[in-house]
Amino acid sequence: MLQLISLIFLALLTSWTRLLVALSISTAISIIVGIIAARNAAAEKIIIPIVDLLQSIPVLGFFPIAILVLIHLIPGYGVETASIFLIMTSQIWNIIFAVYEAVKGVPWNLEEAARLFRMNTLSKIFKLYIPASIPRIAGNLIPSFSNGLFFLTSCELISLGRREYRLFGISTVIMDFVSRGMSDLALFSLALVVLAVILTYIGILKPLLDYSEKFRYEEVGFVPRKRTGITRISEVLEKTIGKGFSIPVPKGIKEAPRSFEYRFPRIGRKHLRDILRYFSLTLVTILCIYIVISLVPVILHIIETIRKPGIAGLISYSLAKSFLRVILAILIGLSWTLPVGIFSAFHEKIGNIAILVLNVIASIPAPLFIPFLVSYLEKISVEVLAIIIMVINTQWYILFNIHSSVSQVPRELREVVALYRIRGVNKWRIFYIPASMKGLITGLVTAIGGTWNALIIAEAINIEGKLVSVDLGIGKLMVVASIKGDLGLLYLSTLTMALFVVAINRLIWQRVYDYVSERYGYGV
Amino acid sequence: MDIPILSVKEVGFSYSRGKGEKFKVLENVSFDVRDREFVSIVGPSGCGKSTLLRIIAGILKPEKGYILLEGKPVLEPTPRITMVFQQFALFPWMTAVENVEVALLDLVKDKEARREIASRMLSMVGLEGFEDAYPRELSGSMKRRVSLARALASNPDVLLMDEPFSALDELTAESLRNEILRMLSDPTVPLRVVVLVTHNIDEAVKLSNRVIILSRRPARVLTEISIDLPHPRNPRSLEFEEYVDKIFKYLS
Repeated sequence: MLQLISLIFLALLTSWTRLLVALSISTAISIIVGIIAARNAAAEKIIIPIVDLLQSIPVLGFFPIAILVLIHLIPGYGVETASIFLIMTSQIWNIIFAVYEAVKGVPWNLEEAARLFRMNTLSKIFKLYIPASIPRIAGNLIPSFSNGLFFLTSCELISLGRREYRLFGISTVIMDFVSRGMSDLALFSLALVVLAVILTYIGILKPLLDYSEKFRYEEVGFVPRKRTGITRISEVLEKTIGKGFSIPVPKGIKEAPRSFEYRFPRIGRKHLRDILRYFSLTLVTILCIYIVISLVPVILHIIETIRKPGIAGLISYSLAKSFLRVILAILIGLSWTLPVGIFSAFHEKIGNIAILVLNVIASIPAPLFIPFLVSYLEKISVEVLAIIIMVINTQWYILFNIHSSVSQVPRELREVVALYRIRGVNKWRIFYIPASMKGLITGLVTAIGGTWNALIIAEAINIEGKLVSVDLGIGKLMVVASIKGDLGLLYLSTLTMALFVVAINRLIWQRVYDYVSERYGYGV
Repeated sequence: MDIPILSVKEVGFSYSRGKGEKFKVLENVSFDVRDREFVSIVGPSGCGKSTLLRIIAGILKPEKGYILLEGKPVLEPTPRITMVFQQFALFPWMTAVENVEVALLDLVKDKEARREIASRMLSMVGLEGFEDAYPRELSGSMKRRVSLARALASNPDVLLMDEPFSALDELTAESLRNEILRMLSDPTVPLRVVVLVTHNIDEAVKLSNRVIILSRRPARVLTEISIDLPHPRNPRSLEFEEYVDKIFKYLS
């Protein structure tokens, strides 16, 4: 018994290490890619659409690359690397966008100050761009962590065709317990996961978020920012790395050139820069060639599959059915998150506690419940189960986006509402609802994206080697294709879904978002 | 004339910094403002001037002490006290006229009457024809005028202003300053008291009957200086500069 319990702890530790390593690598890559995209117009045109497309490809779509490339390329640690890579594909994209948007939004006067103090690219990155992105990065770590957790089950049990790669981790351990009928231990493990989520949230993510508040540029005004949660870790962080991280324009003054000292190393540095430039150029070229070559079989597979009779009809019908599920799940989620989100954002005392509790609940990964939910399958249909899983996964995006958008309302506007004694219906009409519009739209867009991604977990559930699935759906199609090892079908369905999601984003959501941020933004 | 229009009585205030840690912003601040008086509050930055203004407006509750409006305590926002905010504080999703109407939502229940008063206020501040413009379409000085129109829409006795001219160019600021002085002396405008928070000592001397100087945090009243100069005041005159120097000495 003691052995089993220590096994559970070990599994939890292993999974958590995987998640945190993936999150750290994702953050590092996001910083690099985000800054490049924001500061180089040519790179921006390539990177942003690609990231946008990749973001709407569910984890499963990356299986072939993970398995074909990583497992075969890195002997010994291939499966582990593939698993971390897969977790990363579920959490990196929003962080890239966060860095990109933050760096794009660096006020022009700071950029000018940096130029005035002759900061070189490197010190501009470390003293301007990274500090400027920290609040947005920290804000995105929580959803990214939850998302990674959500796909943990798929990332610890990778199967393609007949091959199944199984990693030791908390999700595989829970699966084992359930399949052997040891439901007490499974429940115990699940409780531990919940506890670990809470601890991670309170101990790491929330302090990071509080700490990141220091990097906002806006004038805080006379109300000191509230410090909530446990701030000890953030204080330690502040003591150790804090000094190097503030937005330190005055520091640049110290670095103002003293003529000869400055010029000599400059020549050497220029050479180094050239070498670095050529090196990175060759690297990028090799990478591009590699990608193009490896894309050839993908394209061949896709062409071959399209030619098969009935495939186009199957895919479009599946897509349509999944689309209906997505809409239904969003509407269900919206029905309670909209009022609760607005209420919690405007009633600080109750709201902060409510948001804290909801945050914890939100980070419990729905797929870990699946083994338990499946035992009720006789009472509820697969269809209902799929919708439940999708709602559990995505409702939070709407809730937390409304909350965060409303907490950006300038303090003076709240004071105007108080000063003129605006209450009741008027308060909702002129203040609450317009103030939450931006968050509502951002939340909806992310939620819809998330729901599409959740389809592959919701529509087909692999339990004890048996596939329990809805009749038709694009997610199911992908799972079936990957189990059968039908790469062509997997590529084609993944690509169709990704393109469909991107097209809807571009044609509808982008416009709605632009309209709403113009109409309801606070830009003076 | 016996009862001052506005009395600030021994007001104290502190912010909590979590975990029971508190830091004092205001300590034992008292002063009176009489009918048709213009009073400026100056002090080191971050000393709590804006907090004091919000306490007078009834938006913040003082920890100690109280505010009296003609002898009656102010416990919550009242239409008789109004405020012009530093950052305009206009709702970006509402037009100019709708923003002014915000001040009347609680007072005038009839929609058309509300619209009529708001339009009248806008033309009073020189914004006729801009009723349907959104704040983002207006210049800084126009936004300031909208916020002034909103503040005056409810016919208040007390106008509080939190650095209202700091975001404006000098010429615009000057014409708005004169406008407010004119309103205060105009018997047809019901406005009776103006309290201005400012960093600009010239501005304080130019406009005020009295300047109240606050100390560093926690802010106390260091002294009150009456400015006995006739309007319009010439900032280049010797007496004017003497007043400015005197205030400077207290602040440095």
